[in-house]
Amino acid sequence: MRTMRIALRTWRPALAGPVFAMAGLLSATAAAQEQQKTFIEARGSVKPVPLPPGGPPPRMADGHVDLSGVWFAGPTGKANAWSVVPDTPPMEDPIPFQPWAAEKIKGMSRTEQQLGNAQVTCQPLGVPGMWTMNPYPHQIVMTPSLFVHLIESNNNWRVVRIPRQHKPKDEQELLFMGDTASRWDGDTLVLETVSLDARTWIQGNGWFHSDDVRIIERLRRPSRNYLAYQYTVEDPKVLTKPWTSAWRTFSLGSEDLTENFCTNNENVEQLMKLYQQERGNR
Amino acid sequence: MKSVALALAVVGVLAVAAAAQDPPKTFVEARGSVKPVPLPPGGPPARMADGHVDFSGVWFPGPTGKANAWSVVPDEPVKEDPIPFQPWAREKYDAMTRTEKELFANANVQCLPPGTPGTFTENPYAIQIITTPGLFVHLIENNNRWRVVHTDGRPHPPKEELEPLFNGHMVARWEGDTLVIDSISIDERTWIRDGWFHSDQLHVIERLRRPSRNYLQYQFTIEDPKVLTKPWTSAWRTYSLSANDEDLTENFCTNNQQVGQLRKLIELEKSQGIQR
Repeated sequence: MRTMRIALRTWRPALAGPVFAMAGLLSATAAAQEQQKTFIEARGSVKPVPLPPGGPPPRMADGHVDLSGVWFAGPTGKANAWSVVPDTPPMEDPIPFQPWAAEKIKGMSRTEQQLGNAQVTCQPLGVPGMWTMNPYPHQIVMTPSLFVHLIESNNNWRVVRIPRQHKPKDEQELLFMGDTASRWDGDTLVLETVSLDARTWIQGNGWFHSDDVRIIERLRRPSRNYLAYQYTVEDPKVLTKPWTSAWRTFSLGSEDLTENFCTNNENVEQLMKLYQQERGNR
Repeated sequence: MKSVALALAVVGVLAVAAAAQDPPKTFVEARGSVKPVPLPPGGPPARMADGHVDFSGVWFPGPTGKANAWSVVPDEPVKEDPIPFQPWAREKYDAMTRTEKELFANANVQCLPPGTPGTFTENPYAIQIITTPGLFVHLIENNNRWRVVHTDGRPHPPKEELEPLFNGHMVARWEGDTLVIDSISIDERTWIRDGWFHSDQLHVIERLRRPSRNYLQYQFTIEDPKVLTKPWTSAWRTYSLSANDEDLTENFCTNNQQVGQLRKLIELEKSQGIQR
């Protein structure tokens, strides 16, 4: 349904461009941006207008912060991919790759990066890919004992009990969503994930991981309208030291998630052709 | 990835599956589900802050509160009216071979979304429901799918704003303690169940109730004036609350090789003139 999805996004554009920006399609995307502007101007999101804080965050019966809501990347509470104001890149340390890993990623062509990208191949995004490789809105549904995370990308979910400890090591198996422990640290929900399938990536830039990776995600809701997300990656086989992301901002939307199933993605086939061509030219 | 065999029971594999039933028994016996032992009612159902019944929980098909696919006691067939197909639809349905049904009409085999009511009818695995006042959240294991429905009784949007979706456009209302989910605009690539195809006029009415803490009941009505001569309503199906407080397990469909095998089987059937 990816074709349909892009059509849908002429209604409600999100950051589809960056995810699917492939060599062959770049010029078409740029052209489409011009056409989109009129519609977006009608929505008033050409210049992003951040939501107000909106007061204190709601709390659940047990007193913990309720993270429930539909959350859009950025501060406007809606899709705003085609904003004329460029995003300010978050200030983050460079990723401390071990030399061999840095070389491996540097050696990936743009096509190879696309072919390893779960959004392109319709594979599960995993953790933290559900956040980092996903420009579309999220829905969180919480009860005092459950964190439910729904995403549009290929209609996937994950559920984490609160609080939860890891399974014993001998009962763990590699999973796309891994094995997640959870706890509250004050008003911050901390999710620690291990036993992650090495077919997932940390980010869409080719940042692969080993089966020893540990992801520590932190979620807080500083005010009603805002959700903040940060993650730490520990991966002694790939990195020289742990790396922690900047806090990323999500804002409360009033729309529902839209249906997005990946059923007939033809990009993969096109990219494979491109890949074969590149290899032939080397 | 449990009991994949059950959902993917394919003609070519049936004999193997039958042979394989003996070894798994030991495992199931260890789980105590060879002779299904129904859960007790468990008292009144939980209720939410707004007074409505809370359907939240992990639910297994059948009465035992756990997976029991290999039970030695066969399921009692549910008593249901025959499907009132229009003659052309009956003919089309009857002409499908078992392989064709598996390949074209089974979302679990194709790794396609099962749609509505397929999330219940084409799904032998456990499901998880989370209800909060105003919201019904339905998670299934098959390829890690979800659906969310508002339960505040809002109407469908005007027809011109609808587009076909695998799950359709869903709204829900309470009728006493029964949650009624009403779906239209359902993609024609989904199936009601087992080869039962539908038109773009399909209207599905699902009813959910929790008569007691340990039990969930599900019924659905199909209205499809282009395919059926009259509406059809299923029997109530029974689900039971996870007896061991289990979670759903991760099940992504990433490299299903059955499709290729089934295509070969169809070629073989055709070349040998095998009919249904």
